[in-house]
Amino acid sequence: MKNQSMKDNTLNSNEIVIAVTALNAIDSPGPGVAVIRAIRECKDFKVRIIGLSYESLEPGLYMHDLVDKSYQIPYPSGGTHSLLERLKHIHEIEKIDIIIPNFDAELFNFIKLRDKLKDLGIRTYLPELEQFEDRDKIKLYDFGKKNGLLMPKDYIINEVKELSKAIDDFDFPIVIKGKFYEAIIANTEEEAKKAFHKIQAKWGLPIIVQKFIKGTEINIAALGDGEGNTISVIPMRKLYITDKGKAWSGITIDDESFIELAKKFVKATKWRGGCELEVMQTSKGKSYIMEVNPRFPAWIYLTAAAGQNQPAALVKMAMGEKVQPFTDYEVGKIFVRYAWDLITDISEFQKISGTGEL
Amino acid sequence: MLYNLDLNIVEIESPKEKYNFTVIEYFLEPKKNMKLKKNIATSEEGFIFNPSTGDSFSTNPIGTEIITLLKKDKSIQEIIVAICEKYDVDQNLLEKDLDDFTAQLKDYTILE
Repeated sequence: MKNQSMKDNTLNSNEIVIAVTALNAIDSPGPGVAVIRAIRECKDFKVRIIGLSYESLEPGLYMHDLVDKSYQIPYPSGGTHSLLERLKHIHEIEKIDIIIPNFDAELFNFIKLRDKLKDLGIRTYLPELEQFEDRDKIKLYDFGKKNGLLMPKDYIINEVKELSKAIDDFDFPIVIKGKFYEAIIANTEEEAKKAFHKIQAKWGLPIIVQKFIKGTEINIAALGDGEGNTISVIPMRKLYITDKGKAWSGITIDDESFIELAKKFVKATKWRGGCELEVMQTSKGKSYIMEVNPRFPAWIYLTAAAGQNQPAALVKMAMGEKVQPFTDYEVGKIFVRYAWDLITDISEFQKISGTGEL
Repeated sequence: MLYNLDLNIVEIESPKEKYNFTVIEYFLEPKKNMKLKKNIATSEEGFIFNPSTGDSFSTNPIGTEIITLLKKDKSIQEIIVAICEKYDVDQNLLEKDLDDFTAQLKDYTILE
């Protein structure tokens, strides 16, 4: 019988056991630690946090004030079967209420397993597979056209000679993107060919050739309820960017157009869960959606600091509570990321490496 | 992302005579009225924050004074009068400086 083992929905009555992935709080961080920090800050419920890791040196594993217990899980390339078996084992011990996956690469497996996890009594709060795939880089332009959202025009190509189509259509510079990660700006045909080969070698085919959009980069963290309603939107302007293009510092801004843009996206997709829109606003005020990340961003704690705790709201919604959309947030809240040398002992490293638990 | 918007005008010890007033009004074009965007936050120390873009600016005391006057919806003419009364400044130089200053403010979308 489905959902039999699910706990009572009353948030205050029990400790909620939440499993969180992406504990890699490194220079290009995963969002897990920020998600946990935000959840722990919410006083509406008690939690026990289970960390799910892929590597033995993910810093979150060793943050015992944030993570109560950790388990290693198989890499996404291992497929759904091995992941489900491992999660069943962890669930037997921990009685997990909710899993919040935070890596792009693992989301496909978790979405696929959603119903099986539900049968075990484990809740998720994830988009449908169709929503997830529609916002894929390869389909983004068509998705935008279908839903009246501005996206930079692109060509999906499999051969270097196909570059000429894009070059004829767009003025230089153009952007050469990998299907998963990385983007190179090319100013000449030669540079474009070089970028094609470099990205192909690293991320495979196809390659996305995108029109270059000049402007100000804004990131938007949004939370949808799966019925087209936006529960929270926080727009953030990057103040300091690392060489990998990640925000090292950012500030919440007050611009209704970004909030409307996020609402339009959530409504069009009926997005369930957290997502991040990477937006480029041109000097003429046009906002192009450059990318949609199907999970919370690494800077998600800023939403809690600004008054809209998105991870905590997701927990409540996953537990069946009706959450009213947030309306206000603090403008001018700044985050400044920092690196910290966390000290641990070889015995801890040995434990997680040898037994897969810590 | 902290921009500097300084103006180099020296304050005089005693206010100047009022005769500058008519001359200024005569030379200035009416189109030069500019409005500070409503949500712009300013401090007495010369810190300006544009919440729409997340940009921050610092300006010196004279720049702060001009921003304060703009915030009170004073026209450029009125600002020139106020500054000329208080500071030892050549009117033409002030007009030019103000032109540059307001152009910067416009570039940074601080002005409407």
